[in-house]
This record gives sequence, C-alpha cells and structure tokens, in this order.
Amino acid sequence: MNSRKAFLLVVAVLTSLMLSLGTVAYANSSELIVGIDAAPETMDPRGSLADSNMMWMGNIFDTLVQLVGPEGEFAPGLATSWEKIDQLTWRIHLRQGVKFHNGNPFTWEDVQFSFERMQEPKLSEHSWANDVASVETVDGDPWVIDITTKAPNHSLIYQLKIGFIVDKESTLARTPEEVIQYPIGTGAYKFVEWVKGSYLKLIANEEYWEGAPSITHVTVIPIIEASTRFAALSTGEIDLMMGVPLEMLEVVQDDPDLVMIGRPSRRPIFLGMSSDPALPTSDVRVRKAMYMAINEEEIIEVILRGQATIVSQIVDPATFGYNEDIERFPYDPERARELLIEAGYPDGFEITLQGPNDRYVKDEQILQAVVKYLREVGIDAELDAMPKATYWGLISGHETTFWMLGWMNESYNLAQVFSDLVHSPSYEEGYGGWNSTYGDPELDRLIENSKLIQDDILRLGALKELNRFAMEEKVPYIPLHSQNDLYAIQEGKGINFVPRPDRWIQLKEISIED
Amino acid sequence: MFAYIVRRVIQGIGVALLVSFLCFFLFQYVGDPVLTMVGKNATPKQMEEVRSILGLDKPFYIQYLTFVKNAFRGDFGRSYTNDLPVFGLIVERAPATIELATFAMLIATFFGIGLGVVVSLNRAAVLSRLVMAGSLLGISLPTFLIGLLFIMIFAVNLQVLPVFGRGDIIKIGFWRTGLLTLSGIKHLILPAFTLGMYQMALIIRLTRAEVSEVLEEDYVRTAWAKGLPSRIVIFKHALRNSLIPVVTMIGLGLGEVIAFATITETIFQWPGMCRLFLSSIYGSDYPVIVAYIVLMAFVILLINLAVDIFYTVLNPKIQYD
Repeated sequence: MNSRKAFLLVVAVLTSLMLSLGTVAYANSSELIVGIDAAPETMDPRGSLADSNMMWMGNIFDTLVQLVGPEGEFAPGLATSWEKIDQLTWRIHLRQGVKFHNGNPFTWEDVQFSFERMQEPKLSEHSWANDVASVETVDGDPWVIDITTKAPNHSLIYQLKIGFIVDKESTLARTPEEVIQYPIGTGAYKFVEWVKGSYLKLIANEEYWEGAPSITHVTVIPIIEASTRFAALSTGEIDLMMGVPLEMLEVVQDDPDLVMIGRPSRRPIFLGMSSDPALPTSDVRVRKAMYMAINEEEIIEVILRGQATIVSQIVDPATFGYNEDIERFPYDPERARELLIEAGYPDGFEITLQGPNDRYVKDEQILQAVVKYLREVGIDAELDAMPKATYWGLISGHETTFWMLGWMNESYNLAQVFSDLVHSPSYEEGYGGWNSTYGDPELDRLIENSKLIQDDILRLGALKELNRFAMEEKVPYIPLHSQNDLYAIQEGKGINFVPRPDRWIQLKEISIED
Repeated sequence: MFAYIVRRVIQGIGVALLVSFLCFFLFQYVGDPVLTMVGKNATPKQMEEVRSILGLDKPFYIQYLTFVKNAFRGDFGRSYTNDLPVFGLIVERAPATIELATFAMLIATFFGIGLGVVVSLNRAAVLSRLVMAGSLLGISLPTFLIGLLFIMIFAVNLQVLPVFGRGDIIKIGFWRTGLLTLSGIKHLILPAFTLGMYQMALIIRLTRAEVSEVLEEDYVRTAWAKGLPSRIVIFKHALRNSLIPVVTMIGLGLGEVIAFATITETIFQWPGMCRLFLSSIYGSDYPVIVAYIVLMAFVILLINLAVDIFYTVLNPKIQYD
C-alpha cells in the first residue's frame, strides 16, 4: 500500500511539474499547424538548395541579408548594413548581441566558418559560395568583415539570403549525424523535434533579435497526397495548406470555411530551341513562327484554370535586369505560317518536344497543347515527355533540341540567369550549364560584357537592353507563363498569412488573431 | 531442419546479390543523382568533382563490387539526399510500416478466414453472395480509391477517425509505437483496413475454395457420419487441411504489404519506409534504393521460411531433410 501511494505521489508531482513547465514560459500560447506538399529531408544548411528544406531552415537559421514580406524586399539580417568597397569586396557590419539557441554568442568567426562549410563540394549544394575567396575582419574589429570574391560578383549580396549562419563551436563539437538532424541557429524559431516524414516541431525563440515571434508553437506536417492534405484542412487537423492542386480549385472556393490565397511564383516556364545550323530552329524566323503559333492565353485559361500569369521574358519582376517594356509576340497562326514560308519551310518540318511530366503544374498537358498548336501551323511536332530524373540529364548533357524549362533564379540577377541559360555552353568557363543546345555569339559577347560594367545603374540599363534584344530579336526561348502558388487556410481561425515570392513560409511573418 | 534453414539463407544471399546487381545495372539508365545533389547553379567542373568523390565516374560493376564489399560489413553507405547513414534511415522508419502491415494482415487473416469458412458452409445464402461480391470489389478496386473513400466517409463526413499520420507515439528504444495510445490506434484503423482489403478479399476466396473442396472429401463425410460436433469437423478436419495454401498466401501477402505499402502510406501520410523508398526513387538516391530492395528481399525470404516451417505444424507429414 505504502509503495503504491508513494508511486501515485511521484506521478502527481511529475505531472503537475510538466504541466507548469509547459505553461509558464508562454503566457500567450498560440499554435499553428502547417500541411506542406514536400517533406524536408535535411536540417543541415549546406545540405540542400531545395525550397522544401530551405524554408524551414530559414525559420531556424538567420542569414546576413534576409528577404522580407510579400514583395520580397532585401533587408538587414545578421548584417546591419553592407557596402561595396571595390569590384571584389563587400564590407559588412555585423549585428551585435545575437545569441544562438544554445546560448553561444554570434561572432564573425561563425560567418567565416559557415562559408567554409558551404564550400565543401561533396557535402554542400551551395555552389554559389565557391565564388567567395575569403571572409576576414577589418582592422581587427570583430563586427566589421570583408567578404572577398574570386571574380567580380554583383549579385553576391542577394545570394547571402540563402547562406545560413551556423554556430561554429557546436557544429564542430557534434557528429555530422547530429548536425544534420538537430539544427542550432539564431533564427526566430528553435528546433524542438523532427520525425522524418512525420512532422517537424518548432517553438518561438523568445530572445529573437527582432523580438519574439507572434506564434509560439508550430508543427509542420508533410502530406504529399493533395487530396489527403485537403481533407486534413477541411477537418481542421491542419490550419494552413501549401499547394492546392488545380483539380481542387472549385472545391476549396466553394467551401465557406476555407479561404484560398494565390500569388504568381517567381518561376517562369519557357521553351528552348536549338541553334544547331543543321536544324530549322536555327533560323530566327522559324523561332518567331513557333512563338506566334502558341496560344498561351488558351493554355492558361483551359489547362491552368486561370491560375497563372502570362510572361514575356524568362526572369520575374524581382530580378535585376527585368524589362517591363518587353512585349510578347501576339498569338497569330497566320503570320506564323507566313514566317515559315519565308524561312523556306512551306511544308513545315519534323521536331520533337521534350519535357518533364512530374515537375511543373500540368507540365505534360501544356506540352501536349504546344504540340497541337505547332501542328496547326503545319509543323510536324511530336511529344516526348518523361520523368524529371531522366529529363534533367538531357538538358545538362546538352542533348535535347526542343525543350521545356522552368527557372526560379536565386541570384536575382539577369546576368547570372543568362549565363546559365542563354550563353552557349562552355565547360571551361562555366557558362550555359542549363542551356541544352542554344548559342549565339552576339548574345555571348553581350552577356560577358555586361559583367564588366562597374556602375550599378549603367549595368542595369545594359542588362535591360540585353534582355529586350534577346527576347525580341533573337528569341532564345519562347516564354510561356508563371504558375501561381496556391495556399488555403481555415477561415475562422484568424490566421494572417500573406504568401512570399520565394514560396518560403516565414513563420515570424504569420500571426493569429484571437 | 537446420540444414534446410542454412540452405535457404544461402539462397537468400544469392538472391540479394542478384537483386542488387540488377539495381546497379539499372541505375545507369535512371537519371543522374549528381544533378539533384549539387544544385542547379553548379558548374560542370563541380559536378565532375562530386561524381568522382562518390565513385559514380567508375563503371557500374566496380560500383557494385564496392557496394557488396561494404554491405557484407553492414555498411550500406550514406544517403545522397541528406548524407545520413542509409541503414539508420530505413530502420528509423521501419516500425511504422511493420505495425501497419502486421495489423493489415491480422485484419485480412481474421476476416478472410472467418468469412471464407462461413461462405463455404452456406454457399447459396444471400449473405454469402454479398460477401463474395464484396470480395470481388476488394480485389478490383485500386488501393488509392479505397483509401480516399475511407477518408471521405469516416474522416471528413462522419469525423469519427483522423485523416492522416500516426497520432500520439510512444518511443521504446528506437521503436516508435502507436499501439499504446488511443490516438495511435485510431490513426491505424483506416490505413490498416485500406492496406488489408485486397489481401482479405484474396483470403476469403481462397479459403472458400479450399474449404469447399475439403468438405467433399471422404474423411469429412466420415467425421459427420461419426456424429462429431460440427465445431470439430469444420475446424479440425476441414479447415486445418485447407490451410496450407491459405498460409502460403498470407505469407506472400505479408511480404507484399511490408515492402509495397507505398500507396497506402502516401494517401494516409503514414511515415513508414515505403514512403522513404518512393521519395528516394524520385530523388535518384541510389544508396537508399538498393539498401531497401536488398533488405526487403531478406524480409520476404524470412517470411517464406517461417511459412515453410509453419507447414510442418499444420501437416506433420511435411519434413525438410
């Protein structure tokens, strides 16, 4: 009897202790459960460039420069200010008094260490960090550092937005397995628990340098199957749903308890064509004809149910070098036929369009529609759609001659996008890595020259002109559209959520009203 | 018996070697993991560097031999996706799948044999006809449809069961179990029925066929004629002698639901290893794919071995020497 009483007493004490611990720290406790469409697979900042991993690490770790709000403005993060000293050097002033979640103070050595970590080729996907030559303090002041690049890099400061700063001491002290699974950052949320494929739990960092975030407890649940994700939202098992499939548009819109939120993504979708002289597509008249044969508005209306924005170039408005004056060629099958006759192909020609069938929203249907439009103007088009795992190899192997690609640039810089996608492939110089088989000496020269312009305003002008010249005169790509990112929330829960252009869920930007 | 088991295990190693060889052979044609690893801004030079660090620049048979050498020491390599040891990744997710598969097969066995016997005793009854028609549905309806229907009816409309996941989990050592909490059991019901439905339908039909046949045998007639109670005639004489094919089927079914519960795990967001396998295929994560397939070959081998041994219990005439 006695031992049983003692046992009950211990249980009672422990229970009340646990309850009080749970409530004391957070007087205004609020909880958000997010249902997402792709499971995070690593919590190591250098381990991945995929949104599905980065966006959650973006809540746990800080970056020197951060992207804030619905318009995606660049704002100070762990850097309070920055300036360009010369072509190779960015001078950065660091924020003082910031602490990592384990209590370690944030210092310049953490920045230096984070960059060194991102430069290990086998373990890091952050190849952009290889442009950095050194990170050093200036005149012994631990709060001012110079980041020196190997070559002039005008977009480095924007790329810092994905360079998470890790704690040197605890990263070195722990095994790689621990570092990958138990992240320690300076961010607005502290890591609590991660069961892979099941959930990720985060808790507000009350000592965050921007002030404690509004929502205290967050659970992130990957639910890959869209209909299940939707069912979970409609039963209230999750509060916020990422990725509403187009098939469910009406269901979500008709449900009075749910609100759908959409915004254009930063990822334009476009078609590339080879410039191989042996192929008809080397003739710019043929390229224009193919452009004008495609009824993009119908694609958006019928296939994408209006949930996409038509585009006239391969970069989004947030990119340095976006030119708002570029207009699309109109949909004009008559003119397309005339152009084909002018180019010497009155009876058309054979061409095979290749693209992924598991990457972009409705990719295969869009490809089918393009093939149909091309046949209407007399081009004998065929479709070869395949899984992305196979397809990417065709692009990076420079094998496909008519292909589909979507591109979200993290550099926010047209020069970088054109270097990767428009410049003719050059293994040695690192150009055209994702350009299958297009090349034009004039564009190559313009791209290379633009990098030499020192002055930001002059360079902007040059890039805008380069963009216009390419899209209107050379047609390296046929731009199609940017699909919309769609979210849905429970109406009655008072969740203030505005989607971001980079599709990250920054929890500190979300709040819940009582 | 012991010699038999050893022989089967050796056969199993042979099968695992063959299966993994096929994997490595096919990997040459299914996409380049380096592309997904290095990120889209990597230069071809960086890609080649990574490829040579991983040994992917070597011919596939060299890669295969390296794998075999390491696998015999219990090292299945590290995931390309997150650089964690592959074996740990799979083992961490295994309990969820094993609990789900076991429950699915328990449900399938219990209802399958029970209904199968009932149906074979009264073949003309309305209930029997209904069960047989239902079993046809169970065989022909695709799993994802059954799962979605269950979610719609029981989770969204009636709101009696949860939509997804495992619910509250208790951790015992490395094993995360959902069987010790009410929420865990509730979360298990829909996926287990979804996964077990097809197997249940098969078992019903097979049990009915076998039991019906045995009921026609002379020794069963003799048993009836002797005036034995029907319980003894049905269970001891008829059912037990019909069970060998049924047990074989259950063994095969268990292997199948453990290794290939992918669709059910996807629909109910069940955090098991089949989901891990699927996402590894999407990500060209070769080490996970090959380790999973080899481990599953062993699981299926072990289940078959257990079935073989169980035969001797059902029918003492069977001996392995």
